[in-house]
Amino acid sequence: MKTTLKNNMILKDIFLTRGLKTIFSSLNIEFLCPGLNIIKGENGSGKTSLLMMISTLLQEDRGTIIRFGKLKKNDWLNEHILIKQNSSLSDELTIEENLKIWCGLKGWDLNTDKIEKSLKNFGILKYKNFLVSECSSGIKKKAELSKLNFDESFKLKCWLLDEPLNHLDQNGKLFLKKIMDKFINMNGTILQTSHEKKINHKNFKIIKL
Amino acid sequence: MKINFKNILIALVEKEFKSYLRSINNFINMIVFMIAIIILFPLTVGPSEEKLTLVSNAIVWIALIVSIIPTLDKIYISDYKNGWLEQYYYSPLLLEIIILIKCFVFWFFLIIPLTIFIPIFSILLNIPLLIIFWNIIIFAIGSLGFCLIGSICSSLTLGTKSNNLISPLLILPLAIPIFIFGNGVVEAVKSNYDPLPNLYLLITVCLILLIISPLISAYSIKIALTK
Repeated sequence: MKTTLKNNMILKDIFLTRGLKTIFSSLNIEFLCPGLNIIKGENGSGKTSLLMMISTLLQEDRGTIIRFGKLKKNDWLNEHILIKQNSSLSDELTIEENLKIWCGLKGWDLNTDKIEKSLKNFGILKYKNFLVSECSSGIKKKAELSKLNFDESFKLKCWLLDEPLNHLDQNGKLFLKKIMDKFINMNGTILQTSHEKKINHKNFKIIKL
Repeated sequence: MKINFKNILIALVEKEFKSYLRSINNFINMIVFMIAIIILFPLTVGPSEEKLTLVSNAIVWIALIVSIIPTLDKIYISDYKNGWLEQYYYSPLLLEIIILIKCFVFWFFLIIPLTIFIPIFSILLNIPLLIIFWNIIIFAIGSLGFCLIGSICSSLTLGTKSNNLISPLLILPLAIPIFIFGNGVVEAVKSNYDPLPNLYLLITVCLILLIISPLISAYSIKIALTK
């Protein structure tokens, strides 16, 4: 697929420091858009920081980030999802409530059917009324990844996934691969950090930090 | 993509309401703390009715404020720890508006129910009915101001490790105008003066906080999230 400037994600000459530690100095990356970008690197190499910086949660000290042309910050916030390594679900709410409220906060449809469908696809429908504090790490991870399986999520430009395969069982991994392929086929871009050696996707780019 | 702002409001109120409902322990702690102060104070003052009449109104206010302050610095901390503040940051609705809604929900579900206890405690301390009536009005208005001040302090201390200590130190000086004008209303009623000027000043303080608090809180939260 031919990439245009509006369909590009480029980091130019990025400098990032956190405290006294320099994480990136003069980092230049051109991501595969649309496509899967797998970010690899040792622990502490800055994989999560890179995702957070692209997501605007960290501010680069110097350099330019081109997010799909010159997308305005507010538009960019509505055009991507960041799934962090740790679950961002509220312990006091059930899995279904967490997802419903998350959809509501995005301004999306609050329909519970789509939430049930998404949970069913990940095989955790029976846990929908469990409080998050009562769930295992694997179920929390699947609930978190269920956010990607809504119709609205496939209409976004980009998914930022920070080690999404952690805590997932084989079925979870297979279903995640399926929805990632579906998103890429719909012109989506995925930036995924991973330590996995084997990559089961066809069209991808590996970025080493 | 079509964004439904009504859904954002529903989701926000639903989340806050359910979170408060399931952490009802905080509310019970506040009540128990308040009852403890109300019971202990007369015991330390002594059995003199005169002395008690003189300080009874102050006791109710101190009990209310002291029991609220520990909860004020926790407005954002759980959302910060479990990543919901980031979700608010990503929401298409302005963070300032989200904060304002959060403060209102906090005030409505956690603080307003406390006003039910004002008449009960006031009767225990033999406070006249007219003063009880004004106390309820002042507390309902003033507590919104407390919540807005709490929002500023809670957001300012988000990144710090010892926010339990810093927040009350920040909240108390900022809350002094509310104490002064709130007490001014009661003193005016006691002395048969017009209580309205002090009440208007109290409302003015709350309206000013209504404007500046979401702006400062949103800015502090953005710093805490992006640092």
